[in-house]
Amino acid sequence: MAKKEQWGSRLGFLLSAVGSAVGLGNIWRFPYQAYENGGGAFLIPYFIAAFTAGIPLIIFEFAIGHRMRSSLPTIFQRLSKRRGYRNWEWIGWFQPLLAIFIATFYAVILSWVFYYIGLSFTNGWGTDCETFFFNDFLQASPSPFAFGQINPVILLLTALIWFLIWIIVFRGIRKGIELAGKIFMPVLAVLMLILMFHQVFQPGAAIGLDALFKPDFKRLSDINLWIRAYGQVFFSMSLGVGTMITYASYLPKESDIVNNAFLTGLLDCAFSLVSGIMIFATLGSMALMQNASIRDVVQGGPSLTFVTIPQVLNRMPASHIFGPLFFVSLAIAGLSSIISLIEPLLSAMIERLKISRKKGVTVICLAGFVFSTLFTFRSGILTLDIADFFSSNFGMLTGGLSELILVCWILKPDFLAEHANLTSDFKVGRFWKLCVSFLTPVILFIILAMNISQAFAPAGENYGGYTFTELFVFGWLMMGILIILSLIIQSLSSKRTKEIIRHIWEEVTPRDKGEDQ
Amino acid sequence: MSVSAVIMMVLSLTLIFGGVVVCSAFAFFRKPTGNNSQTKSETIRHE
Repeated sequence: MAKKEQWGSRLGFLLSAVGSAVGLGNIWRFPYQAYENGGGAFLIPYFIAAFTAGIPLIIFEFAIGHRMRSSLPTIFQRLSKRRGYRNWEWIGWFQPLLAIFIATFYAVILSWVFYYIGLSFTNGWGTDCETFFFNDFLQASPSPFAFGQINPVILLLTALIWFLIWIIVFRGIRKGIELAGKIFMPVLAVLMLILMFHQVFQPGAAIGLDALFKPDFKRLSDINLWIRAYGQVFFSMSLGVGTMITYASYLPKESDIVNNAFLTGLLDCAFSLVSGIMIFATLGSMALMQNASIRDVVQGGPSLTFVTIPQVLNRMPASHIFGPLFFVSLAIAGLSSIISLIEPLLSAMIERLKISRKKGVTVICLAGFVFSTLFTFRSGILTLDIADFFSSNFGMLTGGLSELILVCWILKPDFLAEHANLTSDFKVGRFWKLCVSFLTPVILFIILAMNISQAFAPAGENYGGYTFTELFVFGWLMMGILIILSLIIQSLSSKRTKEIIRHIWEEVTPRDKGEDQ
Repeated sequence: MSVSAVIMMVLSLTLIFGGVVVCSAFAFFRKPTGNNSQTKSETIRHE
């Protein structure tokens, strides 16, 4: 059996894990969530969520990967068979498949970012940034079913992104992913700090920072605020898709699990905070320039990145320097996340199908690119929006909840705590077990139930105002296919199914005459 | 900028970056042998 690859250094692993956690969500989701949910008051549940759910869950996933040192399907197969329970191997297929699904539309969003890097040198989006983004660039259709034509620019850039992913992952753990992390993360940190310090000294920045940090303590009694804070932490830290488990499976045996998890979680929060300060300082200066209130200029998601920021850059001196810096930061954050989404399925293919990394990554990137084309049509931004909502709010939650139920409720997490404590400077105990066995599963279940009720709400009140058919086709159906596919692969890999297939094969293939006699 | 906003910003940055510094210090001064843990973890792994 070929020796399993390992990280070359602790720093390399840490930077790669942080690169996986830090993504576009830190830049365009966290600041908006904080502002919409009580400003500074949101930070209190956010930090509590980070220390009671985010970091404990990273410890949990690192400990599983480090303890089992296999690919996800093998890990969950072995875990469920520890005490002779039903096979939960499907989780080990669902998480990697979900990760690849997320990578397919993430690559398309990155293609927009790459295009805007080029535009940012000359503010090529013109004066009406909204019309440029939705009408001129995306040529967005009014409905997810009105596919229209493929946008050739987005298609080409998406192909370029899959090619970059292929080059990085093809080179392996040390020479590819680790090297990318060691380059990407320090560069991203420097760029973000330059942008943050530049923006906080702009006129009007204080207006934005006041809106972001001024606490509205009355909101703390709102249960939804706490739920959103836990949701933000869970989605931000790349949990429930198997990337952290897979990355930890490449750690050397004597690695410190708990401290690595703390550093990963804290650095993810640090990137979110720095992004929040940078974005809101920018929005504050824009509000001052337009003589408007901060509420009028605040946006989240793609509109913030591709409409509001270009509007600010249009009025900013030296925008041809700070524009490219901002979009390059986004591209690095996105690229470091997307390469981590490939690894769970790749490691499963290498282990189960006995194929080389080079063949595996080639197959995954080609298939990923083909699937990405679905989001390069004129309806792309709408299909992508639904796919993103469902993969985060149902897929990641299902993946995270399933692993917690299996390990903490069926098996009990003591063996993981024991393993983590053997190799770690900080020890985990009852509090950690309480967090992963009770607190986090209950909160994830509440979030999942709330999301389901939102998705089945009457027309007009459901997510994004989409029709039920649109949500069903691009959301429920996609998630259903991933779960069914995982169950099919699990059953195909079971001994009994293999025997049945062999038996059928022997029945349908003509026997040798000599054998009959 | 209001006083409460400044306090929240300073507290948040101190908590997060302070945590990063403390954890990094532990990581930096960690013994290369990792608490002689290789033998122990091997024992568990082969149970």
